[in-house]
Amino acid sequence: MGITKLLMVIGAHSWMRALACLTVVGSSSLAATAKDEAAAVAPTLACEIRYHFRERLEGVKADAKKFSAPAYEKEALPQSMVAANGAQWRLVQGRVAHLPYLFVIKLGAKSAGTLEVNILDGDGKPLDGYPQTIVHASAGAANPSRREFEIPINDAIRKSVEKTLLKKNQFLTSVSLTIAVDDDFLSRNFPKAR
Amino acid sequence: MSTIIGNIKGSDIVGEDDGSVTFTAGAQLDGDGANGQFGEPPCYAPKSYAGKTLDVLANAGGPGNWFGVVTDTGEEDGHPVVQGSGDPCPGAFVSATSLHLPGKDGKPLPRSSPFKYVDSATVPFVVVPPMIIRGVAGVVMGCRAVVTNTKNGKSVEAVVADGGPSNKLGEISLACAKAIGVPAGEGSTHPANSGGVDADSHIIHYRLFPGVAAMVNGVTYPLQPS
Repeated sequence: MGITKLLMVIGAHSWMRALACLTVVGSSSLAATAKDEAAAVAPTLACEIRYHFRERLEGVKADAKKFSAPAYEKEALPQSMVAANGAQWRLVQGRVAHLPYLFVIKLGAKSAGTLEVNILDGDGKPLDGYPQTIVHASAGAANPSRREFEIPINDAIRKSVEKTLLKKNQFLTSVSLTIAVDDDFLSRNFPKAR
Repeated sequence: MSTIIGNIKGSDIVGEDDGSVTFTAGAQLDGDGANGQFGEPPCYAPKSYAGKTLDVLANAGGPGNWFGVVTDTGEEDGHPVVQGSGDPCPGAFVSATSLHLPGKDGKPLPRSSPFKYVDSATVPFVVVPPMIIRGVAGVVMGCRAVVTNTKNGKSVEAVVADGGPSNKLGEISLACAKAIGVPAGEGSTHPANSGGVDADSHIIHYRLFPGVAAMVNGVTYPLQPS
């Protein structure tokens, strides 16, 4: 990507973000026109665990809907940080209180727009179905800003979550990891300062 | 003078002088009621279903415990009703809302009809907790609502069409989310699962008009006493 195209991409966002990007790309960008794609920082990344549940409704009529609409409680993973390994990319790594797993999410580590998701158990082994890699996961008109990943849980985890996180008459239906790329609405620091 | 009807996780539910009820919260997404009535994907379907669904099947239950779809007996341990060849989404399950719609003749539709429920994919609707349904004088289910995204100023006329958990405030249909610029999981595998706005953000303003039947996109909805 040439410097002109890079500036056009940056210009598509708010002026504050452009200022931030220019600050990050900073002093090396002018000299690195041939390698500026690698030097650009991947978009911000926000990740949260969603504990989906329903509630058995009390006092409803015989022909009425007996269960509530689905809803969720959430726990946020740590904020993403910029990592560098030749290129600059985003990393989210951490745990949440209600799951015995380590989450490792990388955006742009392999190549621009590549999202890598791994969930490790207490022994450091990936859960069934992980790691997963999605290419072209960066935000933009052609890409959804959010991705979801189902997190397998066993009965012990289910009972623990229901006991510690949910209320009377509520029961866990599923657990998911939601990842948002460059998405204000999921940020734990919403509204994001720009 | 306005009165506080209650508070859920820091959000006051306010009874206004004009009889309306207001609160500010986030917006989780509810795909219930989507049965392909107007050509959009259904909320739930068997794993063998080839098309897209709005939500993961686990949120509807499983054999012997179907808490999120309509069953033949009306009980969780019944068999899920599967849409037939004359229905909007053959092969998909039937997902319900608390608000029930009548047939074209004004008579109640059977429980198994996909058209008995409000389509989350195409109708802007609001989900409310029991505290509101039972805490105000007017009928809430089926009443008019106005939902506003205070971050971008977008607003939409909506209907209160589903009941939520007792400790949750701020939930809307996918169509409502799209109308006010809230991420509706566009392009993701299950939009109802991944969309929405952080509940702590308090940027979505809700105004309900209990006792006033909603009119959305030319359709007048029935007020349904609970």
